[in-house]
Amino acid sequence: MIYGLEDLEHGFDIDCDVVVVGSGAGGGVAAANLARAGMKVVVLEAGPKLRAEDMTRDAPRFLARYYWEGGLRMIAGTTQTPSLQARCLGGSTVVNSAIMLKLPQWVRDIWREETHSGMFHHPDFEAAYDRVFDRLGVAPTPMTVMGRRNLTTRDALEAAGIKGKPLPRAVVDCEGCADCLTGCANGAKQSVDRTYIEDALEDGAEVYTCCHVEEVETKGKRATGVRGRVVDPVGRRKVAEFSVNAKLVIMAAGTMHTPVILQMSGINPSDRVGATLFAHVGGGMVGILDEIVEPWIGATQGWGAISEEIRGLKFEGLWADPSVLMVRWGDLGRRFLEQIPQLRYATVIALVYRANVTGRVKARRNGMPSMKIWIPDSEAKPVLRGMKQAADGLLDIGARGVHTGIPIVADEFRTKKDTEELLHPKVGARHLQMTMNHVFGSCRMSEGDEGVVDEHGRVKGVENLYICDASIFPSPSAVNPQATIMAMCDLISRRLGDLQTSAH
Amino acid sequence: MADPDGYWLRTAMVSIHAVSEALFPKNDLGAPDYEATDLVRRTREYIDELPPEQRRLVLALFVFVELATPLLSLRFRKFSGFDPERRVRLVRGWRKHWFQPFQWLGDALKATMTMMYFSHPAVVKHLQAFKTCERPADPLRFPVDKDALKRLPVVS
Repeated sequence: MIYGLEDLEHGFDIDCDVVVVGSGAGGGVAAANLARAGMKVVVLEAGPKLRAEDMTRDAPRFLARYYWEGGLRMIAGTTQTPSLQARCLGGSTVVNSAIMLKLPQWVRDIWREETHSGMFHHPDFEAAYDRVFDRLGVAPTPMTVMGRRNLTTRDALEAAGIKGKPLPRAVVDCEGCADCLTGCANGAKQSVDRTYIEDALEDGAEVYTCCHVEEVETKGKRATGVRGRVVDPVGRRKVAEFSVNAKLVIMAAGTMHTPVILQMSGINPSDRVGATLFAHVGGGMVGILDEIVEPWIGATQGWGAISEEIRGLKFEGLWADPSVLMVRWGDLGRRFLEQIPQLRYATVIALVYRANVTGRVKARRNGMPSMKIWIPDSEAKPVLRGMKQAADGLLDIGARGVHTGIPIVADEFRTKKDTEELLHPKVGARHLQMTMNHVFGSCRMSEGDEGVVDEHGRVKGVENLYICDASIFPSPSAVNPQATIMAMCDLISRRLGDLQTSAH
Repeated sequence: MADPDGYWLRTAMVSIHAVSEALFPKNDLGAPDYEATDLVRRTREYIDELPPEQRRLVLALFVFVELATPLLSLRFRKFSGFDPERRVRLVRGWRKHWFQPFQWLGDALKATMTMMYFSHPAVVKHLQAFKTCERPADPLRFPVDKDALKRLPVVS
């Protein structure tokens, strides 16, 4: 049963075995496993359930309605960086590109040192990936839905000596309409609301949408439930209060909201909750080719490559609605209007880098997170080197011009000599034009004192309280995090439900 | 800003009009302008869709631009008092300024108006954009060509 605003106007007070706070990649998997294990599971989601008719291509309107802070969430620190986080049943799995990549071996080695845990090298972790990939039908993007945009990305990267491959995605029968950012109205994307939440419902779980959790309730050193308010997802009006009493509380509200709820509940082992925050940094570029590309069709992110030269750097083809993509690209006024017809000839390459950054999350008085991330200039340099490689690759395949949006370099690179500007010492972290959608590590996992949770996802010092989201990553994953969030949470919740964790 | 009506809202709307007119001017390029895309009204509607805090923030951005331009430009005129070309030069200057808050100001104006501009059917048509799948209930109708990807050469 899924309850919506119209069902909850008078609030509620219920009991269950497990309450899962958040219905994204982590919460969905945990809810399904624990419901399968026979527990009475309640899922609380702050946003609404989206129907196909809610998924408009009018991106500003969609973002305003179904993203946290109306799509205007910013991470401060080195610069003001947008961070797009969905606020709906299924969380960001509803609006991302469904890329599913396993944690690279070298990152697993780092995570072993950081967590003092062998979890990431254990066969059970690999089995968890396999279960998740099987459930979501993960497969490499077929060449038939690449479209010219992804193919030109491939060609440009190969011209730069960077070998890539079709990205594995959690989609079934994707038609390549490149609308991932505003949800997949056709149902091809195997987002959590269509998969794991459905599984949980089949096994008797109850899902309460429009429920914003404000506090974890404790008795002594034991979590006993959560409480919060029912919120109108359109007007954000608080309409009623609720409380859920549970034997087990699973926080899965994401890297930004999980630490905030814990902080507001006075739960802060070793003062480490929200004391760290990591994100992938990156950049992007628009290349204008001589041939028509029709970039608005083809898989949103179909082609990707891991740099062999710069460890932790990943390239990928990308598309977003022009109303989002063009916000930083191009000039203004008449000059911009002159540039717009070039969009038909455009291809876009994005870069993601596992930088060493520092950051933190703090609860604001209104219960929203305040985030800061500081990026040393030295950590921007690998991104800029990668951008030069990709820009040179685009020029090699005949691009008339390449635009990076970086304010202190030329608006358009036309030759490889122009791209040298990217390596100028004055170009630094504050000039990178990016969004920080991959955020992690605000409640890090470690068996040592620096950890908020142990390798079982258990919050230290509080009984019956677990975390199942990207906040427990010990550091950045170097690849899109969804697969790893799901695998970790599959393992954590299977152990909790006494379900089989091995492959056989 | 507690009362969204009255002076502050009027000032914000004047500013939105001034920014729209400057960034998406009447032109002989065949591109839809701020009037053809109903930019001022649609921006107001968008702002009304935002959560209260972000609504106040975006309105404050436009109010600030209108009222602080005399100081920022040292010309003692409100933003809307300049001709559209001069307004574009002002915003361009802020985006390129060494002082980062000026960059944020310029980028925020560009971002807000660009988002609204590109989500209008006239602009979709001007771009010759289309999609490979239908969204029958979507008010923002894109032309659909279901076989477009099938016609592309597939290279394995």
